Amino acid sequence: MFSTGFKYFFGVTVLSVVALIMSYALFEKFALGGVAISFLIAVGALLAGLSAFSSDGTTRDANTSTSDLTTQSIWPLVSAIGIVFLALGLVTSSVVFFGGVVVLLAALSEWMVQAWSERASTDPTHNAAARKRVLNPIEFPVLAAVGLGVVIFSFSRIMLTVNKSTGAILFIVAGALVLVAGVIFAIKPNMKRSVGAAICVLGALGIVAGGVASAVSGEREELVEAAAEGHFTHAECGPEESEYYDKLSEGTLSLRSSVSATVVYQDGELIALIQGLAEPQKSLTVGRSIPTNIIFRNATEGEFRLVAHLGGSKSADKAADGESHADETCTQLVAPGAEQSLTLKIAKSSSVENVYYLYIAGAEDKKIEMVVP
Amino acid sequence: MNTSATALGAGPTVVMRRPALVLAGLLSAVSAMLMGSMLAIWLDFRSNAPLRESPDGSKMLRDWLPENIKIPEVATNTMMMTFVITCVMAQWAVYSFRRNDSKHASLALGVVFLTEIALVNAQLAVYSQMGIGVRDGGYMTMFYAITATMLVMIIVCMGFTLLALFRSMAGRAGDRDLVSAHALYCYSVSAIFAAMWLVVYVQK
Repeated sequence: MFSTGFKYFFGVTVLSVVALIMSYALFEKFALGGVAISFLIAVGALLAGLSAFSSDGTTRDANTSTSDLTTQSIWPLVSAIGIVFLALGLVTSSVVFFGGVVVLLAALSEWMVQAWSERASTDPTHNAAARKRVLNPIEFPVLAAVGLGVVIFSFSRIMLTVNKSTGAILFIVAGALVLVAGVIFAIKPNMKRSVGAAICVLGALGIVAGGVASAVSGEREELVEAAAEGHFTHAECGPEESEYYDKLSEGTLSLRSSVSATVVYQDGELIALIQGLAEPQKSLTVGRSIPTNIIFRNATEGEFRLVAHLGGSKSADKAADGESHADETCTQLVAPGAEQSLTLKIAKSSSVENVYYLYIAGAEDKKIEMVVP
Repeated sequence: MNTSATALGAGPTVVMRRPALVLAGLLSAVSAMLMGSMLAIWLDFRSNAPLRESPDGSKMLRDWLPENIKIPEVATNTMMMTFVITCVMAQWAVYSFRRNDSKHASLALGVVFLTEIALVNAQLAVYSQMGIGVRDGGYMTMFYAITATMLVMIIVCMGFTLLALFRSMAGRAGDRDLVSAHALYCYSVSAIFAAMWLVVYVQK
């Protein structure tokens, strides 16, 4: 008597009315929710009426014999969720947007194949088999990858929450459990599939539950502090040793190809050795917007770092925050006789406003000009 | 050796739908929810605006509409009345189609198109008379966002009218679904405009 569409939209309308009454009773500010829900009621009623009037858009002479072949489909709902993510992503973040794109494409593909398979023949079993034949080779690897990703992500959350020693123990326990499960599968090859599946599902659920709990409780204190203070992201380019940036300083260098120049600090002088030029140079040409590799060799007896000044007014910035200049990058403190590399990518040409040079931290008179054409 | 095979029957033919009517319904729903959400935000902004004294000092007003902005109410009220004419003409087109009277259907759709041109013209006149910039303030930005959305809906309706008019003039008098769908969208846009007119142009 009543079509499916009518029942659905009628339900939406009734629920919207309930939501309107509740928002009126519970919230002081009625403008935002009240107006939006009122429009939802109007729209729900419109679509319910349209569904009833047009019998869900079916003409009188339409062939409805597919009704016993069609199955309930979740893909319209998933598509709608994808569209919502798409719209939300436009105003929140690109991750949500691309997530929406992926969900939408996957749902539309599933929906299309399901719709096609339901009309493949008059035999529902054959239709279901046709759908599986097309989609299972795609579904299983994708689902496995997603499941594995979720497990790995959950495990990473756990490891970021527990302290270092507990983390090591957890790794040992997890490895041992995987080994035990593998042994069980090996010595009981005729074990019921349901038991094997239950072991895998329980293991995965345990890790995911642990991951959710860890994500809720947050990372351990030292990581929170490190992130807040930027221990591992902020290059401290002063002459003194930095507590975090200079930790485990690199002494040997494997980068030997595509090197534009080797900058050497020796005998109180900073010089650039450029391939093809016999004499040491005091200036260096760097291509604009091209990653440029420079090797810094400390040929003195003390520890020094090479700093690249990348434009802007250094004195103004220093006066402003008292810290290292915002537009500069540097190597770690380099031990006597050791080498480190520095990769630069300069987007703007040299000008009065944009002056580029390399210098030794704490001895700014030792500098090499960088010219960006 | 005997072999036998039973061929499966071909799948049933695709069920015919009324796509124009369903599409118009969904388009109406989307348009209504879009405008409803924008009006809700408008009202929220307005209710949160600080209070100021009225020019004569007799009462306190919400400081939402800047004092120097005057909304040309003649043009906006004319738009509301034009929408009524649009709806009557759209229904006349449906009536004529039911009687296979394509001449009157085409005439009705032609008048609908003319009224829609008049609506666009009136909206542009409102912009011109108000003389405000999009970036002049919160009210102005919201005003342009809502009224421009309405303008887009009217332009979509014009496209729909042109399509129906083209089919009517081409002799497709049996295509009742399209004209019914067109009328449905005209009613929806009119109802949406009525809500917007009340909030933005009357209550301000």
